[in-house]
Amino acid sequence: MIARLIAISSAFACVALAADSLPAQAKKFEVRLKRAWVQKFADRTTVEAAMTVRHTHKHANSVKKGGDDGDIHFSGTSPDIGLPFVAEVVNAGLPAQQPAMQAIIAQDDGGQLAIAGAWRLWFEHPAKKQTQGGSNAFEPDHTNPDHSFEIHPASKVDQLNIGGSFIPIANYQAYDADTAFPYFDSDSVTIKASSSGISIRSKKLKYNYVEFEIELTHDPKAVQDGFIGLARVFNDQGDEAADGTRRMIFVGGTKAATAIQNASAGDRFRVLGVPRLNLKSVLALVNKNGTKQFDAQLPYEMIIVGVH
Amino acid sequence: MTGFPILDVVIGLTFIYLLLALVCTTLMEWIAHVRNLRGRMLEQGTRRLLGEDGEKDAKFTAALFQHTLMQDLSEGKRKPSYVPSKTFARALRDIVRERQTATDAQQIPPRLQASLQALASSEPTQTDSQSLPAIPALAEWFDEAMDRLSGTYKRKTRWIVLLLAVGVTLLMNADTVKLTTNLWHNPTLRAFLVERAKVRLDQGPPLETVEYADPLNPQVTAPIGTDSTRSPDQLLAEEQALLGELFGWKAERAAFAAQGAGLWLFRHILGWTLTALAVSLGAPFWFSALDRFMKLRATGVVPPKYQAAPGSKPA
Repeated sequence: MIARLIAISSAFACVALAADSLPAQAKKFEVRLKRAWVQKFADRTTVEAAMTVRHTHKHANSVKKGGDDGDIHFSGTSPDIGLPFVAEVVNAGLPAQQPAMQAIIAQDDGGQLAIAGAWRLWFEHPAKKQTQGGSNAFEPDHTNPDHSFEIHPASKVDQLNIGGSFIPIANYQAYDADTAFPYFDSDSVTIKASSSGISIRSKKLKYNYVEFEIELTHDPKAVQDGFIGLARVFNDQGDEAADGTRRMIFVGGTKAATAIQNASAGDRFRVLGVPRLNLKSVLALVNKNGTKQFDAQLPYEMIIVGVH
Repeated sequence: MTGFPILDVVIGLTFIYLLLALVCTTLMEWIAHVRNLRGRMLEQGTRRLLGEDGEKDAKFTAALFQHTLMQDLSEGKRKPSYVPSKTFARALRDIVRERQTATDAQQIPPRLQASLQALASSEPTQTDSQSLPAIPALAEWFDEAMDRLSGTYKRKTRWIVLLLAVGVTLLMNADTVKLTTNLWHNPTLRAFLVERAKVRLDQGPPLETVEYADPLNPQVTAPIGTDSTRSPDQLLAEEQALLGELFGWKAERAAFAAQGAGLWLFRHILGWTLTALAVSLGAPFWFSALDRFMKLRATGVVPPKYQAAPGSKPA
């Protein structure tokens, strides 16, 4: 009898200890957004923000693969975003971007910048929990704090239009369609809404720059600040890399948008893109599920950075 | 069932602890709401921040909470349970300015004056003509204090949760020893609990949402607190029935007579203590534990139930 009680107590202790030592679940990063803000930006390509710059790189990244993408990174905050965020200029090392680079670097450590560019919600360097408009820690306090929000790529810095930077990155080895799209399509997020907020939980996501081929299934639709196209996605061999269609986002006034603005259904392009959450899909899912918590396939779309 | 009954026993125990912890969470939330624990703690923390702790008549704090911006956050006579830091900063500056210009600066608590001076001197370029720190500096000061207060709140409520865990355990006669024995000898019960645990896991851990005071305004504003749609925290009807069937006092009279008072009490005290301690660890702990044990049990990772994102790959 005593032996059995001791055995049960030991088992209990093992339960508590083992529970704390096994690997944690992967999906553990949360961002809570204001629903009205989500509704405003669901069909927009860009966001404008009065940015307080916290830290900037002093040079553009080198160009090779992965994080060596030729961007310049700078971090900061803005009342227009309500989340710690990072902004990036693509092809920052090219001469055309030097005035913008100087303007950014001059504002290091607390300066103000008016910035515009593609908004990008993506759990690439996420914080455990962040709330739009809440008291979010800016940690680590450098050019790459924990964040789920980016302005990437930027299209305007103060009065300087850098839409010309939206071109393929020369000598950069992007991820291919067969690597990135099956990965995006196999991921899921957990979503729950209140009457005025939307919370999204995800695991850490990867594959920033992807090079792939698209075939428009409809004429690109002009929205307030650019174009949105529905397209099928192909790999280098011409095979479909993802079933169905994906939304392609073209920021107005950029070379990428210029390349497709007169395109029609059936036209094909080779493009360089970065993924972001598809807030229109998020809203559709929330409208369907009310305030119930649910899991959903990762809703994403591609910001087109360059058209070959 | 797995070939490891001990793992199913552990899953069954973990699942039951989770359900009991959810009962305690619900009770704790109810108590916190009825007693306005967060609001009272916030006022207490604010009083301390403003240098009026220990004073019977905290006039400055009272004036701050009477400010229009703070009143907007109150529900009737209830003190707000959450104050956005910028709202606090604006209200504080208004009150301090009022008192400075009304030449009754003595009404500003000396410790608060010292704190304001220290804040203002640390950021001289951001102060105004009346040497008041800027809104962001005051907001940051408030946020830091609230972070500390949050830790204090958790420590204080931990004791309430432990008492609730003891209460729920005794009320339900939730005896870990008895439950473990039942699970070990009853494979049907083990399998049933594992299935119920899967249903619970499918709901996912509770995802906290926030509410905003101006839901139609797309401008970013500070959230006003967590919402009340906490469905994953609530027990399903089947889970409530399950707890009723597993535990209770009905059979105890016979057991008491058969075992004698000494042995009966000894066995139960151990079982109750283990249950109460486990339940007091909280629902998030047991949810995470259950998730990990289920993954360990599975031969591979079970794919999550997807809802196809509209406009993307068909399900």
